[in-house]
Amino acid sequence: MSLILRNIRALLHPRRHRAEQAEANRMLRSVTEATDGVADRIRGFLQSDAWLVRNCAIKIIARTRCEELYDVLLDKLEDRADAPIIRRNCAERIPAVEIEPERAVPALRRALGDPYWETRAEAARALARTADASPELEADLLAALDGERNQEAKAGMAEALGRLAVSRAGFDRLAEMAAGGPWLVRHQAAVALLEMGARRPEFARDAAEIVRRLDLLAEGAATRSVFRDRMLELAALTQEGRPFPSPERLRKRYFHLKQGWLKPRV
Amino acid sequence: MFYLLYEWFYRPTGPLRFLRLFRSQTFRALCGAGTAFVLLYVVMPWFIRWMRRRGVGEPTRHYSELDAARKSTVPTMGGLVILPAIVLSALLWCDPRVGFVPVALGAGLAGGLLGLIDDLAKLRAGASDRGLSRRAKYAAQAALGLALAAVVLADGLSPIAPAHARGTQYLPGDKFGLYLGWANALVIMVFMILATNAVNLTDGMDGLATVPSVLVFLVLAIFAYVVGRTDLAQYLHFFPNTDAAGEVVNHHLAGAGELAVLCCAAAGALVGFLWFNAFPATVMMGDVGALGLGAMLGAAAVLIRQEFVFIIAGGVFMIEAGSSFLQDYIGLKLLGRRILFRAPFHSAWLHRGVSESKVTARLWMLSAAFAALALAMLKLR
Repeated sequence: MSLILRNIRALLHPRRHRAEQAEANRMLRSVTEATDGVADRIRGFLQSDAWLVRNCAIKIIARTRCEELYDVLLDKLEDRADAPIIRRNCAERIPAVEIEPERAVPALRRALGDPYWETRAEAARALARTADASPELEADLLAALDGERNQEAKAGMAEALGRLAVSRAGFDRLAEMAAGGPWLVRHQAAVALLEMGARRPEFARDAAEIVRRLDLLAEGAATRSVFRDRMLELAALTQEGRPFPSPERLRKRYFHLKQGWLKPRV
Repeated sequence: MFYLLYEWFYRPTGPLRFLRLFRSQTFRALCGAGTAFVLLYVVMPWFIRWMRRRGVGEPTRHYSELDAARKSTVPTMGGLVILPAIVLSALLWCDPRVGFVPVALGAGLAGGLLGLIDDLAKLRAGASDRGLSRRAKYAAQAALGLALAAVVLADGLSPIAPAHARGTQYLPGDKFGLYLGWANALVIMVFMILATNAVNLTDGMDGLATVPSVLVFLVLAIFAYVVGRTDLAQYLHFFPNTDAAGEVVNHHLAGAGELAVLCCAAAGALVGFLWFNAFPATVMMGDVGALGLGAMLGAAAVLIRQEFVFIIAGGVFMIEAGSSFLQDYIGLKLLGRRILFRAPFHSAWLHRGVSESKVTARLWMLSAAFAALALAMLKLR
């Protein structure tokens, strides 16, 4: 309730908050280093009644890599009294600023139980980027998936499972998710299976077999699938007048062990 | 123009007695629809080629449009052909001396002008979020709504003959309506903002705004025809009030039938546009079309005093506008979170993996159901 009151208060003073917002946006666009005074200004933004200004402050911390405020990212990730989008953005930015896993991972694990679905999805993705692959972490993600009803959060967790590529249990769960349900989740599970196969050669054949069985031209898949992205990639190459690459070469172009599946540049 | 030919040259026994046909509003409505359709069918390919040569495509936001790469090459601003086709067809087939027609056309053109300014600003900036600010758009739409309200409510200006109908809001289930007097200006203003934006928000997929607009124009045409005829308006108890003797008297809106001709012309133009705008679209109507059509639809509903019929018939528009309002104003502004998966409503389906053509077809079906429900309001009032 206090968040709503705070937001109403911000809406009642539009001029002040518009000026604050403009300043925060300007800073976000122009400042790239945490020079003198930046941290103080960010602290000032964090006190604002307007959540958009506080949200901007989070983005500035990440952009400037302002180490003295990294704790703010961790605190805000778990601050359920604040705007849920702020928690999501904290989860998204924690891996980008490379906070030490000992500090970040426990907070991100707790964020898997956040009431806001976008935070859960981003926390899962962030965990896969921040934490080392471990059976405990995979078990956490599988447990979170068991109770998850939101499709976007499921997709985020599937992405994380593929990136961690820990065990057959995770692989089987992804195979199950790829088999049915909405394409938002199926697509992500299929991509995660391929990623798992690329990271762990023992899963590669099974992953390829499962993805081959999917109808990648089906409704929904056609707008989302890896297949469509590959076609775009091929189209771009042919437009440039170059010959088609072999599947192996294309795969190398398209998949990066550290970054996962790359978006085609068309 | 053809109606004036009838008035000037028709003699019951003369050689030009066939001009009697032009007296019939239903005949002129059909001709108006046909003329606008043919105009669109003939001019649009030329317009598309011209826009392609100039490299004018729809600026899209990649995070919100899954198919942004394809859509960015599709010419936009199809409204630049739709609105003139409607105006030309209306000038040919309507009686221009009846006040309803110029008011509705004027509102449509004013909305179109606002959309054109917005479209040009976006094109210049090369981004779909760099057009007119939301505040500027709302202010212009509010001004348009107030101007329309002044025309509807002012004694000397109003084309609406029964004075009590001007300031009354006719709600479903209440024939007598709620008399608001000049306070109705506020309702008309809010309604115009809603109608204009709702059509604009729905225009997010190939053909999505076109078919619901056609159906709402047809529903309004039927209502305009009915309220414009003495016998039907009496039979269906439109605009009742009590006379000096305490008797309930029903009224009709003299001249409202001309609005039926205009609405049919607009429906015809939109069917012609759909020829090119159906999935996968070769042209989009842009803000110039969406805001212009929204303003024209809203003005037509206000002029025949059937705002709630528009709200029912345009149920799809209301769902789209409602979902955007919920997401932007309640969710993001007040709660700092998304309430819906995506908004407007059609984006939620699209992002979940339902194909664009299926989303469009489903919303068309829903729109037809809403139109049928609105037509039932002829009797169920």
